Amino acid sequence: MKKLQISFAMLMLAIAVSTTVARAQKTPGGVTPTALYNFGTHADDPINVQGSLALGRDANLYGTSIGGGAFANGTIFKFTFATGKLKVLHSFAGTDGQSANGVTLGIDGNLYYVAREGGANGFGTIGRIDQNGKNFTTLFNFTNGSDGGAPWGP
Amino acid sequence: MFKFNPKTTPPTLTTLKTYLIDDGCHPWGAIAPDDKSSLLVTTYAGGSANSGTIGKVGFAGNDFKVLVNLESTTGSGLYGLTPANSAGRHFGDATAGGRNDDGVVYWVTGSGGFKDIHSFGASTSPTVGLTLTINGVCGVTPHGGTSGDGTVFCQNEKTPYTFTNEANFVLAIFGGTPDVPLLELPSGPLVTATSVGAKNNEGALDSIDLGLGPSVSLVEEFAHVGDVEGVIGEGLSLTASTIVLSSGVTARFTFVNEEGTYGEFVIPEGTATGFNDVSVLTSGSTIPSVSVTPVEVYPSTK
Repeated sequence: MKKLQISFAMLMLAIAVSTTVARAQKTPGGVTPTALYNFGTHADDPINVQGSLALGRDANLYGTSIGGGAFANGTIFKFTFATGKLKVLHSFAGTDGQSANGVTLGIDGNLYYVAREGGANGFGTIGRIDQNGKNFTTLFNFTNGSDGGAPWGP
Repeated sequence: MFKFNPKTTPPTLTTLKTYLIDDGCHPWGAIAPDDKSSLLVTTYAGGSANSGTIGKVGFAGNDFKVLVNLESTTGSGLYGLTPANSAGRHFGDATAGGRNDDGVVYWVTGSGGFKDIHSFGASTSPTVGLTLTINGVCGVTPHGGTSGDGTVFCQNEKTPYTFTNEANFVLAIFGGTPDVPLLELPSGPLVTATSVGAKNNEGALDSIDLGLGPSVSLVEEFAHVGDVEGVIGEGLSLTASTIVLSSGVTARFTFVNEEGTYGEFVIPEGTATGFNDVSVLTSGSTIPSVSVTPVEVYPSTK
């Protein structure tokens, strides 16, 4: 996706968002990061987030983890800036994929991901889910044949 | 390397390229569209020096050729490429090689132009790809920095390519070992995630505000005249926003969601082919002057 400039109104919203999170102490010699969310706050939280994060149509953050979730096989999650809350949209069971490596927003508004393990053949999957966590669908199961296996890219 | 079409029933996967060792192996990281007919793709290893390659291939998997064979002096272990900036340069990083064997930042063009612009040192090797920003390109390292827990770095394209350590992670506060590519938010800050440390020792979602200012994201990196383009931002308005493309044409949103965070417009007739900066003007706001990565526009196919 491509980054472009926009409006004063967005700046105001940015300031509002920034007041909802706690600023951490200043680190020497650099810009101070801000912890928006601490993983492990809830039992089924994402653990070990990897791959590309994506903005949804709601301008909130979507991502994947290779650990955590209800089955410890990783998650697809949503983080809402306005509330500071994180929601697990999907916990991978293994048969539907495992260790997803980031998400991409499609022009249809859905989120697409590639999992590098699990699925029907154990060699990873491609899947889709909507921004509300509904309509989770495994679209393709890799066979480790001519289609390859263990896809790693975003 | 494959192409996947979710719109067919059933969805179809087409293998575009099966790598041989001289082509490179272990293609990791982001694939970058280079022009209307080809892609650039990096590999972690393989090639003539087994340090990875940068290859170019047609959208149909045709005409693959290795543009750059990396060597230990130029970089080794590549993590994908950014989309092209307005100058047609894609940026990438490598986890090893370079002057100190701690990795490099480089740019490459679709015609094979290549240049290292930074060699990492002190075991600060990057392990994920880079992100284009208004000023150049930024990334994370999983180690190094003032606390040894990782950094956010940038290469300023305008100075030119001055390397700066922008932020340092502290294990107990923000977590350490950031291993997720930076994402620029509409409100300006960059976001990444750490995998260890922070409050629960499971890492944290962190934002880093470099003062980049508000921005919007385009869903499609390529578009033809007449195609629908998606815009993600904040404060978008169906009636009060105007989209301005750098070739001088303007457009209006045909759809904006209730939250004003997503809009669609049609690439208008008269848009010049090639890279087009896009700005969104909202009533009453000051027009920001710089866009980062433009949409690359092609003539209508309709």
